[in-house]
Amino acid sequence: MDDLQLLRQLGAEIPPATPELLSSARNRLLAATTPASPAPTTIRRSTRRSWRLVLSGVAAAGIAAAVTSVLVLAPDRFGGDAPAAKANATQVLRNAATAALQVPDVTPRPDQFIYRRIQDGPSTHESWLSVDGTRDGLVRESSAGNNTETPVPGCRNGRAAVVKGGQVVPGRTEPCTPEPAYRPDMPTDATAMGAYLAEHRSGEPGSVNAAGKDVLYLAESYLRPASRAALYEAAAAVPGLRAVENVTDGAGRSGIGIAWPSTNGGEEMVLAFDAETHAFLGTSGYSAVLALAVVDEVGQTS
Amino acid sequence: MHRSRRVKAVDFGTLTDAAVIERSLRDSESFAVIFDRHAPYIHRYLARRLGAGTADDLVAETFLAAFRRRERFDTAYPDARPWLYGIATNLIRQHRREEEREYRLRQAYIPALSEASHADRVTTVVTAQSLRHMLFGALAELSTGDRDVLLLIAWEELTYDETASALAIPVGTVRSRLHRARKLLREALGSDPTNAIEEISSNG
Repeated sequence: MDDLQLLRQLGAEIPPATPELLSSARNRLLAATTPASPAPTTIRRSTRRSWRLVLSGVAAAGIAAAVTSVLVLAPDRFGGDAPAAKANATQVLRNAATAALQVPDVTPRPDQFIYRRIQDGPSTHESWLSVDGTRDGLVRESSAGNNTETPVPGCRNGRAAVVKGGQVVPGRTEPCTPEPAYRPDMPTDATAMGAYLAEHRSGEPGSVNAAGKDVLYLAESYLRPASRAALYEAAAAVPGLRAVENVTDGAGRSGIGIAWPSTNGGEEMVLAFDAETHAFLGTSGYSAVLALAVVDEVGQTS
Repeated sequence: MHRSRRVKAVDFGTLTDAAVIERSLRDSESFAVIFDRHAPYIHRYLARRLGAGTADDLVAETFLAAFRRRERFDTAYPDARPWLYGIATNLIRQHRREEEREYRLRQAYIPALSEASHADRVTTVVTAQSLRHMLFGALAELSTGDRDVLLLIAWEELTYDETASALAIPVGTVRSRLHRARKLLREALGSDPTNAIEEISSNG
């Protein structure tokens, strides 16, 4: 038995998909292949897709001064009043919401980029993504001495440069839909945010752990203060959360955690917040959001 | 109408993927045949790397992207699966953090018996806690390029040539990446994985 055989056995735990699992994907494909269809599903799909990309890949939270474009992650120690050390989960999240509202409200311009730096285990991910999705962005990752840079071509007039093997293929383009790094239409109150999270949930209805991942993705994204506060307020309404004292984020910063339990035997996920400023830090033991800024150019970090 | 559909279905059964894709340039709906042939495997590949929830969404993205690029498929290859794996792999790269998180989650997760019913008993024994912890930990730490090659070969059972064409890299690069990835796996498992397995088997 060698290493490859061992690995194969882990792969064998996941069976091929059944037709039932695939039916919605098949319907989406059929909607796109049917020539006469005006493709309402396609529109819905691309909205969802760009949203996912924002969530998973490269969005950021930031604030820019109109000219200097610098950004700060956390408010400097104002916000909620309850001492977090003994607080329950609801109080921790409410404090985070209050603190979020203290951050100056600045809207990124369409021609700017969202810059984000994340520590994730041994790797660091930096990204510069076009606010409106039409400018060329970049993702830079370093892990164990390996650095890779991947261009993220902007989508202009429905076409984007083709990227293969991490390089733009000269002279080739493909159809695209712009994928903005910042969405101006996010809900700004807790009720609407709760509905938004329910509509876009990635897991099964009622899965608290999956809901926590959705909140995590949003917390790592650019949100204006009112939306960020709404996110934490909506999270505070989720039943079954637990405050965990003295957690450490992926960069070793300590804070207070919110645990999202798993019901299927998986590990619970713990979101970490600074105990004093109440700013979101990252996930306990895994990741840390180290920089979030709106910048004018790719490569600029503040 | 009904009759012509039936005739079509019979035709497709004998056509290669390349022929179906060529045909789909004129008759776009016939691209569904490509989905039906390969989607269960592409979905499994995505689920293995990103978890089932993300796979549900990305399997559709993979086939929509394939459909939009179908005129660029090289019809010298009769089988479209390596090409589809390449498209899926590109999408996975945009979800690297989710992928690493997935491996971290699965490190600690021993499937319940009912969920593991498709796997034989040996599997359950061998993938006991410590080994799965080491293997998933190693997977999470591989560089993306090395991991793509390793998993297309180990999990998806592509040949070296198919892997090279899926990733648009030379076969020599496939070999060197596989070598590097396996070296890291073996280091993670300790010098002699066979011993570790026998120990666990005899205890189980």
